[in-house]
Amino acid sequence: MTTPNTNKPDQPAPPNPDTHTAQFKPLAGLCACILPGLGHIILGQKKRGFLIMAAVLSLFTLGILVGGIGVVEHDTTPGPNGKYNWKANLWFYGQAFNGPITFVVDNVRSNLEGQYDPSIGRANEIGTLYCAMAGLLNLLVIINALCVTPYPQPDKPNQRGRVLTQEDNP
Amino acid sequence: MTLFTLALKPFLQPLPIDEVWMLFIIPIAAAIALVYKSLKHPHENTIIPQAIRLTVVIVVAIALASVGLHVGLNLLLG
Repeated sequence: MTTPNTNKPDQPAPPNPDTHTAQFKPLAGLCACILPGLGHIILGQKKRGFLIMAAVLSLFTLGILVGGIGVVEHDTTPGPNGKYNWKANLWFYGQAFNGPITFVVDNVRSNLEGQYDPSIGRANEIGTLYCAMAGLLNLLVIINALCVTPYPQPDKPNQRGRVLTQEDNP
Repeated sequence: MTLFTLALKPFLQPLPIDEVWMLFIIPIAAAIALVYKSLKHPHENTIIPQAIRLTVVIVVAIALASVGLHVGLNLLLG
């Protein structure tokens, strides 16, 4: 025996109070690709944007300082089979998410070939990791700027009907 | 300060970090915490204190994990 369906088919479903609608902002995403944090700045979240910019660019700069300019290297020499060796550039792909600054640094490095000391050991590892981590953090920032979800306003009931306070920690 | 440090060309030569490389966990933890809190924390004014707190948590957790692994390995291997 089945239960009769009491829902009226012509009545719209009530909105889900827990749903945060993400807005697609292609311009903000593009700006975040060009310079870390710029996407949030043009969205009006200036403090957030400048903090992101400071964090990502500081990490990238510190990586180059520790390991030397040689840690950002796009290796275009062909591999053993004569084709493009993508396995040699995995770290560069992560670093490339920092935006055009990575390609500028790589260009400067290739122009200074023979004038800088390539790093080895810990310095190379930490420098490479810092630059790649800065790029991957900027990838998160790009996605966040591209599909921005409005933050709940402080001291106003949020979508769950609870007032947010300064102590709230997401 | 050694002569090598005085003659260092920043960005063209790697830094001599072989004795202090473990300290470089702090900047990367701080950057990760700052970006994470910048993206997730709803209040712009409290991002920095929250990021500092998260940095301390990350560094302490990694330090405890390393001590635990060191002790565990020493017990296992004798």
